[in-house]
This record gives sequence, structure tokens and C-alpha cells, in this order.
Amino acid sequence: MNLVVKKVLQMILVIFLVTFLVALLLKRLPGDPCIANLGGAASPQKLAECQDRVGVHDNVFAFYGKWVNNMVHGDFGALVGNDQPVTTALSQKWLVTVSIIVYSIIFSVIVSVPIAVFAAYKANGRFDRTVSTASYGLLAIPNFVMAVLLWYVFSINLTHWLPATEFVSFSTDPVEHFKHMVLPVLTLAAGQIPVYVRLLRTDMTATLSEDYITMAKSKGISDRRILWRHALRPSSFTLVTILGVNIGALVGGALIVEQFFHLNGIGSFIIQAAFSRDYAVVMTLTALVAVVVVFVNFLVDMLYIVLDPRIRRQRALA
Amino acid sequence: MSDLDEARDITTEVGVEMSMGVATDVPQLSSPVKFKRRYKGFRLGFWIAAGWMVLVTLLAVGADWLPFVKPYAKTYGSNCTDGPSVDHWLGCDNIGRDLFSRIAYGGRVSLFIGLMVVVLSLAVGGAIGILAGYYRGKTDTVLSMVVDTILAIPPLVLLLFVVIVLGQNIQNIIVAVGILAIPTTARIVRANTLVYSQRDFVTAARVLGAKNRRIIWREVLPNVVPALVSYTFLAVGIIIVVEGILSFLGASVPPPQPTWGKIIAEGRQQLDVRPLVAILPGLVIFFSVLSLNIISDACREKFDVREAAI
Repeated sequence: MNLVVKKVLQMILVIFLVTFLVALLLKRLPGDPCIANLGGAASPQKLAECQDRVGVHDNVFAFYGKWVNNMVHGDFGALVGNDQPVTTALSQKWLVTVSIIVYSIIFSVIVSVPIAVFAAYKANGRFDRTVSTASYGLLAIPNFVMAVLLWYVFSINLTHWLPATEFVSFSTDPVEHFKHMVLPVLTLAAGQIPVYVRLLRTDMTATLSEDYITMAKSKGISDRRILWRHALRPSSFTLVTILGVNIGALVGGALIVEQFFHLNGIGSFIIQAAFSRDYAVVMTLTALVAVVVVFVNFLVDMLYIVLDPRIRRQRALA
Repeated sequence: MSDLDEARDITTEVGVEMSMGVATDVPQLSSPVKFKRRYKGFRLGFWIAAGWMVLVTLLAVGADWLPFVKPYAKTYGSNCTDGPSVDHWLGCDNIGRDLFSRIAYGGRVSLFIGLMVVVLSLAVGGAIGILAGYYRGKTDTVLSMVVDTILAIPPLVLLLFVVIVLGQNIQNIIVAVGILAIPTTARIVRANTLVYSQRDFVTAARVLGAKNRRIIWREVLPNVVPALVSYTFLAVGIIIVVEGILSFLGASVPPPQPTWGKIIAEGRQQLDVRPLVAILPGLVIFFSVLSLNIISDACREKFDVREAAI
């Protein structure tokens, strides 16, 4: 329990440090967000009001203090350009990013689990070697190159088989929604699948050499049942962990994919805000992402301690 | 943080060894290596990979002097079509610049950034890692905290900010990517230092009255370096990709200077008319990253470094 409290305190401290660091960087960004967004035509009075609200003339500490104070009071800031609250802008965009990430996780798991299980079942067989080589190659393709290739093959070469841009929400048109999601999700998944396949295959082969598997075999249980019922669950621990750890990387991946396929999600929101010097948006979004990443990592660390007896033993020995 | 990191290292180690069919109680380190060598047949692959990297490097370094590499910013207009020809080996890009030359010059920036970032991160991250791993205690807690903080910022956001704040040129991109690479390097060096600083030869040196500084330089460092050789190749590959991403977000070196990522970003706009402009440099990045991964793996086998350390 003591360890948990320590971790939570550390987590909170890390979040404060992250946001402060972002504030520090923001204050050093060249250019004035009010002039940049209101344009030269704005009246001096309006400009001054805006500068006062955004905190252009504040030093880092005052700026950061104000921001924390606002956050605590539930005020997440507003866009400099049109005074739209960040939360309102976010309400239209978060769905895009979350859909891409969630779909790509689901898709990668659905694809990688059977491949890994079968590769481990016939370890070192032809299928296993092919999968190993293929995933090694797949790992070397950066996601923006993947996006170019997929776009070229599916959207241009196959005469607009799949639309390559825009986001259609599920409630508007479910079919179009998935059609528009295919390319972005494939791009993101292409980076995850080889990782998951390799991890699960490694753990599966280890599990399959355990005594209780031999025992199950000698009892005459079918191979299929052994693989899916007896071996998969104890082997999937590392995979589940990596799914959690990967969230941070996926957010980054989503940012590129959104930019590439012109999707209006959180990722492109951050980039726009950074280029237009929109302090409030950048602060709130980075804080949001950092909180999610830190929190998921914390959960994973806790999972490790709770679920893996090997670690408990190691800790007891140490 | 430190305990959990170790815990994580331990599980991966156990997982790796078990997977290679080695008896689970006794860690035998040479078996996985033998297994891998037979399994992937890296020997031929290694030479092909090394050959590709030498070729790319020679092209990038010698771009100014090689007679068949044309100036990267010169436009050839309607004389140059998009397909390969005798004059223009890979054709031209959207505004009629020689694609082959742009890829050659692009490699110069991409590879240079990759190398310099690795040097920078090894110098700074290596120092942090070795101090944290060797002294442990408070030093470790504080340094690990700093490292964790940087790792918790969405990397691309950090990258974008630093480049915008400092200005878009090669030095600043190196610094920005370096800030991202330093924490990871520090973690790896720290993990390795932790292992070696508890070995008997270190205790022996201490018993003989060696000072900490001497132990670090003469006992720990020489053992940590081999693991870093393979990491270096891996890192260069990753950094080439990161530079490509920066290009995509419009935050890389200013035009007309090409980088591999920038050629793709520019070519993407006319993917339907001139697909080769985006696809060819994409393949070049793919082959280079693949080669660097293969070289990195071969180095790791050679130095017999455990998977967990990487």
C-alpha cells in the first residue's frame, strides 16, 4: 500500500512537472497569440483585453499559477481566435482520435492473436518463419511511409476504393464511418501488429513447454482446446501490459495519421494550436494527454505487482 | 520508479529465456544467440544491410563531388518526365527537380541528424544513466524523475515546440530530437550500469581501494559500451524516422534543402500523378531502417548482450 501511495504522489508530481515544462516552452514561443489570431484590425482595447486574459505579459510562474487555478475551478480555457471554450472544441474532436486508437487496437489484437498462436503451435515451422520475417520487415516501415503506400494502393490505384480523407461519425452513417476509418486504422495497426505477434508468440512457446500442457495433452485434450483454453490466457499477460504501455506511442501515431488523412482530431488540434500560439489549447491538451499516459503507465505498473507472482518473489528476495 | 523498472527488466528477461527453449531455472545466455543465428540466417543479410548503408552513406557524403548527382534545387522543367530516364535516373519531382539527386542530398541531412543526435544522447544520456545506475539512492531518484517527466510529454508535441521555439534549422532539430533521445539512452545505460556495478569485479576493485571515478571509467564503462553499439544503429534508424515525421508536420529544415521525409511530404501532394516521388524515398527509408535494424541485431549477437538490456 505504501508503494501505491508513493507512486500516486510521484505521478501527481510528474504531471505538474510536465505541464510546467510546457508552460515554460510556451512562454518562449516567439510571437503573440493575440496579434496572431485577432489580426492587425483588432482594436487596441480588445487586443489588451485578450493579452490580459491569455497572460501574454505574465511571467512563467504567474502564467502557470493562473492556469492551474483555472483548471482547479473547472475552467479549461478558450480558443484565442473565437473565444470558443476548449471543451466545446474538444467535444467534436476527441471522438476522431479515440475511434482511430480504439479501432486500431481492436484490429491489431484480432489479427495478431491467431497468427501468434498458430506460429507458436508450429514453432520454427514454415508459417512461423514467414511470420517472423514479415513482422521484422513490417517493423521497419515508418507509419508515414505506410500511409503513403496504403493511400496509393487503395485510394488511387484501385480507383478510389476507399476514401482517404475526412471523418464521418458513426451515428451519421455507419457504413461510411468504417469506410473512412479503414486506411487510418490500417496505418496505425501496421506498426502494432508485428510487436504484438512477436510478444505473444514468445510467451506462447514458453507456455507450451510447461508441464501442465504436456499433462493436458496426455489426457487427450484436443490441440485446439489446449491452445485457446489452457495456453492463451497465461501467455497473454505481457501482451496486455504492452497494450497499456503503448497508449503514449499510439497518441503520437494518431497525430501523424490525422495529419496525413486530414482528420480533425486531437492530434491536428494540438499542431494547429502550436503553430497559432494558442496557449490555452496547447496547455490543456498536453496536460490531458500527459495525464492519460502517466495514468495508464501507473495502472500497468500496479498490474505488474498484483498479477505477476515472479515479481513478488523477486521483491521478496531483494 | 527504479524498483518497477527492474521488475519489468526481470520479467522480460525471464520471458526471453524461456521462449528460446532454455531451461527456465538456469539462464544460459549463449543458447538464444545460437538459436537466433540459425533461425534468421543473419550472415548474408548482414552483409547486404551493411552494403546498402555504405552505398547510401557514400552517396550522401559524396553528393557534391559525384558526377552523376545533379544539384538538388535545379529545375529541369518539361525536359524531365516523371518516369526513369537516362538523364534523370529516377525522374523528376512535382516541380521538375531531379529525384535521384534529391534523395542523395536528402540522405545527407537525414543521416547527419541521425548520427549527431546519437552522439549527443550518448554523451548526455550516457552520463546521466551511469551516474544514476552507479550511485543509485537519491541521485537515481532525482535523475529518474527528470527522465520520467520528459518521457511523459507527448514526444511529438515536445519536438514541435522545441523546433518552433529555437527555429527551424539542422542544429536545432538535432537539439530537439536529442532531448527526446537522451531519456531513453539514460534508461538503457542505467539498466546496464545497475547490472555491472554489482558484479564481483567491481566489488574487487573497490576492495583494492579504487575510487568511484576510476571504477566507473575502468570497470563499468567498458562493459556498458558493447550494449550501446547495437543500440546506436537502432537509434539512428529511429531518428531518421523521427526527422521524417517532423518534415511531415512542416517543422523540418527550410526548403529547398531536401531530406528523405520532406521529399515524401512534398510528393504526397501529387501521389496520383507522380506516385514515384513519394514512394521511392519511402522505400529508401524502409531499406535503411531495415538495414540498421539488421546491423543492430548482428552487433547484439556478436557482443552477446542480453535482450533485456536493449
